[in-house]
Amino acid sequence: MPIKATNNYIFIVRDEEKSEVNGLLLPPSGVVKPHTGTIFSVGGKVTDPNIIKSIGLTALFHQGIGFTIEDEGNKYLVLQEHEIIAIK
Amino acid sequence: MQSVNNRIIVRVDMAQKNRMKIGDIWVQSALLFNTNYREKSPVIAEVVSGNDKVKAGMFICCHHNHFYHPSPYFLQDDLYSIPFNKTIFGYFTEDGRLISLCGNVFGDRIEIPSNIPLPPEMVQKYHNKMVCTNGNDTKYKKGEIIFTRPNALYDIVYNWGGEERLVTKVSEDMIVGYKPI
Repeated sequence: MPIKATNNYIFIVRDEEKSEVNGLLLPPSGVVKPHTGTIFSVGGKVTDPNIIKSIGLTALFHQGIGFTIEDEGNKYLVLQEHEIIAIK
Repeated sequence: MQSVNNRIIVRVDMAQKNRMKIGDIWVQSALLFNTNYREKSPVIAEVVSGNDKVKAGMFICCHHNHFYHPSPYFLQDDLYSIPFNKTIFGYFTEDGRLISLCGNVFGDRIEIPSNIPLPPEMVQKYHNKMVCTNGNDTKYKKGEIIFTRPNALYDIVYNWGGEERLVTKVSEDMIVGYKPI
């Protein structure tokens, strides 16, 4: 069974980091983690109707928030409802 | 004396706050286990006036914050009126098991896998993942893997008639996800 979010938490699969720009390889210190990702699971206490039905869509969030959990080699970024700033 | 307003009345011997005799068995939540992420001194208390979940005569394990002098929860002698909320971790069964209460979930921490065999003292465990062993009044069932906020897991170590036991506790509102079985 896949992992499920609970309470007002949302699991996001973060988009992959770009380690190359215009053919140039970036050093690890120059790689910026993207602040977008695909919504994987939404907890039962999330109240925003747009977020509730947004599984599979792309979410935007600020840099440096949330924390990561790992399950069977997959990494999920865990955010609270108010930490998502937009969905596209 | 009757408890009201979602409170329960408990008896705590302040002289032996961490020690209580249940029948013929001494139960102790010892201070000597001084590791991180442990409930430092969970208090064992006897319920004097309870509710539909804890009855008079039951022994509960709860957070130590209510029990000091002068405490607003103090009634008289060794009686305290404490709120029935997540600060009450669980109750003891006759065989010394701790059953969770008030939205607390008990479980066992999961070991971090290693590519090489490690001696027991070197084995590390996740700080945000456990296997549920006792969810009681929550939706989490035995055997489910529970994911929590970082370092939300707390160990409760107690000594039941000379036998050291450990349960790991997390409050339901600190759980971020779970893996149904």
